[in-house]
Amino acid sequence: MNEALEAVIRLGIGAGVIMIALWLSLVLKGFDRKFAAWLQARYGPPLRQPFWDVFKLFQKENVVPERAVSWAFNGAPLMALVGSLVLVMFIPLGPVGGVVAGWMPVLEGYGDLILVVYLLAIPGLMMAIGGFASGSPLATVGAQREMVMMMSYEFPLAIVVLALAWRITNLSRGLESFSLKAIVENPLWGEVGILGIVGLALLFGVFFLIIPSELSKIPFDAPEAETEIGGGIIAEYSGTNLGLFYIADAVKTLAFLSLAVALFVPYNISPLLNVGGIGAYVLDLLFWLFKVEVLYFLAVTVIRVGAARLKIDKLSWLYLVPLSALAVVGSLLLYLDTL
Amino acid sequence: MAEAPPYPLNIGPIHPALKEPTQFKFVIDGEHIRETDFQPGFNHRGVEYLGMKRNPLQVLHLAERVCGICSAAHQYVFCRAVEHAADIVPTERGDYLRAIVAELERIHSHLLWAGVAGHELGFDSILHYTWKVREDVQDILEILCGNRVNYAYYIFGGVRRDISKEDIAKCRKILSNYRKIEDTVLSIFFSDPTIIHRTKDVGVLTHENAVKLCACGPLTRGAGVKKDIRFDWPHGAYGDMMDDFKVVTPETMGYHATGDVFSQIVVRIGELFESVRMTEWLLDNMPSGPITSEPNLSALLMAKLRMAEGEGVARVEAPRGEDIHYVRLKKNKMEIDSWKIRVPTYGNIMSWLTMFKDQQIADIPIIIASIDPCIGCMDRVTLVRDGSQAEVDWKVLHDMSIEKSRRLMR
Amino acid sequence: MMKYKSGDEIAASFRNRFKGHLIEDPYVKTFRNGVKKTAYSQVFVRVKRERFQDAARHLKTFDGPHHTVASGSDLGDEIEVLFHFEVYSASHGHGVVVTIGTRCPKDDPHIPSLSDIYPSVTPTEREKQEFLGVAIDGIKDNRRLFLTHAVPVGVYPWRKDEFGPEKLVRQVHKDPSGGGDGTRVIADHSPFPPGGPPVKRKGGDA
Repeated sequence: MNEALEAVIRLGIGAGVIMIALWLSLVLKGFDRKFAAWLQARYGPPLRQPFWDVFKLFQKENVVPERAVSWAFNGAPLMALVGSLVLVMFIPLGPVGGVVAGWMPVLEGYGDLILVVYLLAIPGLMMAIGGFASGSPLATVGAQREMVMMMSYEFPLAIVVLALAWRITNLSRGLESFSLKAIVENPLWGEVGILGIVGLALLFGVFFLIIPSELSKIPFDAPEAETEIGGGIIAEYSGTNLGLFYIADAVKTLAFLSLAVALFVPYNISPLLNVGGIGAYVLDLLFWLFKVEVLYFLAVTVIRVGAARLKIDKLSWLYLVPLSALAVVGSLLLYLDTL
Repeated sequence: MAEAPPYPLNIGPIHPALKEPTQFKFVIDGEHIRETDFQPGFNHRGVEYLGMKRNPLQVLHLAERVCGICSAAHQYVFCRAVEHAADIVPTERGDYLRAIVAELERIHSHLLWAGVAGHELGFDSILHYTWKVREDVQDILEILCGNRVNYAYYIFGGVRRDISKEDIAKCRKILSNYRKIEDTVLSIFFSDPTIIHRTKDVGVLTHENAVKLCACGPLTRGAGVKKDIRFDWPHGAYGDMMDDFKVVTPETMGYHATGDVFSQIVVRIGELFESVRMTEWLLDNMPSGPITSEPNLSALLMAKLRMAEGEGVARVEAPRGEDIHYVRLKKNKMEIDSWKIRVPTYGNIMSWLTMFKDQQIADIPIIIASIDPCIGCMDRVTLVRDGSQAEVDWKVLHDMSIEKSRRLMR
Repeated sequence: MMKYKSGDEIAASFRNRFKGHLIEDPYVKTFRNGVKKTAYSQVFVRVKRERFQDAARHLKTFDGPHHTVASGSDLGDEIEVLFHFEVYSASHGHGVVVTIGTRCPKDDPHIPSLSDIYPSVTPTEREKQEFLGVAIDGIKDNRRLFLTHAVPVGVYPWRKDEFGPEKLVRQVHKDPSGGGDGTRVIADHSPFPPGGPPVKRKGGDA
């Protein structure tokens, strides 16, 4: 009886979280576009433009190319969205720890960081499948590039996650190694020495540069490269399918940025200001939103406004060689710090 | 692992990398281009055919509509070709005003190109910046000609509008803005690491090929060949500027002329500010006098153009390169007897194809954009429209548009 | 310091070299513009078809011939093709525009190709083939360049005789393909029917 009740409660909360995540991710996208416009000395679209885009796309005809494998072509966007939404269930969307302890992901305890890293790959994988299924040479080129990209940035990402997980177990407080909850509740910055802080900073830098490529934003948007391969993966998509990819991308952005906040800056502001009660909840929530937006602005908006698209060979090299090396150096420093 | 076979990839007729319809047929091996073929002809309007059915004064406005960006160049060169055929001598002040508009057009065209190049590289901030500063030069053109595109400024023997003292002052003020942003623009294009990564050693046109394949415009100067019609064939006011200005090549800007896309960026940005200085020089040294040698249009048409017998070639350096018109007039015939337009893109086709060799798919847009192609200019020659054959007749076009509106309303 | 020849000297050189093979005497037009009246000139040379390639080769004795384009016209009984060049290009002020032309009768519409001498002429030679109905012998690429499948083989837009486009005019509202899918196929075949360009016989119909 208890288990059933718990399942129902989680289901209800999950539905709520999905609605909030959908709304919030589109709002953040609106901010991104507005800020990018300001950086480029434009007015930019209104904040609600992403909502209009989605509504418009859902009204449009859904064209399936003759040569496409239609089940894969139609299934890929849906699975991409499902993947992003499941991801949201495992990542804390909001402040954690401190006064508001307990505000944890819906499926906390049912999966750890390794699962999160796998889930992160699903939207990209689905886009590649959709691209291959489109039967267009442009989409095929895009899908190949997406595969290359994933193989490139997953490597440094894995190193970063491993290093953090190892350091958490090394605190010897009986914490689960890959538990997101443990990482969030024990911010590492306060636990390590000077060397460790330098190492953590390096890892944070690497993670910061993985953000735009994980989200396929300029200069790392080779799989979509509008002017080269006409949208690449999404070249053949239209209507509802394109809308689903659009939302999946927005939700994944939110999830990944929340993950970055949770892994590296899980601090709250209410203890600092000595606020308690309901005020702390509001304040911490706003502070969390602020952290996500700042990270969004720095890692996505500023970078995509200030650079030209990189070629896929250079891009792959960038992640596999220098960034992986940096991640390894960061991990080593973390290790040296424990000696 | 089995090697994937090379596959065909068509860019165009409609593609985001192309601003106008044309088609490239590539054979791709992985990400690398192995073969290239080029197929123009999607944008035919039959301009030359139409021109051979009209008198020179009517064709003047048709020539302008060959291209929206280098419309002044086409009007300029057509005027001069007719002048050469009919022995009309333009006035000195007319020559200077013509050169001013031609140089202003170069500024706006190069800024437009810079924006497009940025966009092709995925660097949209450059697009927004250059197109914003481009508005200033459009303002000068509006002051001078009354129009921001399709200026209708040139006439056989001179120009159609004079410039007043107040307007000169306004132009100088706006031009000084360009002097102020020079350093910013140079630093954007010459030192941004991502731009350098995307343009250095990409789309190389060797010096040898540039000479052999007769490339023209900034493309050939990027390869280190000092071809520039303004100075090679010193027509109009350019003859007076020979001592004060030199051809812009990467060497004059302090770079090696490697013939890659970066060299072309260097040339275009260099020329942009050279044109600013040239315009100022022209404003400083402008002689007084009449703006046209024959202000009476009917006298010009009936007495001079109809009675003329002869042929003429004229060339100007349009922003994209060499623009050449050939005109033949027959005595007692109102219409032009023969007319041939050659636009820069046409002359660069052969060079263009060599630039794609062994480049990546990612380089296609910037190589296409690097010669600043103007497909509308190039495809101007036949009377074929939309799969059927006809002279483009106003009535028929009007009927067609009504029909299309009805179809869309259904 | 190299010696730049003037337009008159270039014309004289062609006059001496191709005496007896010229269609008309080479002539020079010189113009003076601007305040300083700097001179620039253009030369027109028309040689007979047999010596056309030689004339193009002779142009190479001057420095840096830069080929720009070929123009063509229907003169009635003959077709004229003019190749426009510039010699002393990249010379800062010494360039001379030289136009070398030749004619062929309409009952034998063939002109030798210059593509062995100037590799850049191929596009414009393709254009001359499809627009004037004159075969360029030795052309490197025999396909059409601009015209689509909708223009029948045997119609040449710049011809002013029965091979011209007049019979196709005023059908813009009709689609010969009977609807179609809106795509335009550029014809990638030769602009001529099998057996070469259509021949117009003197005084008779084609």
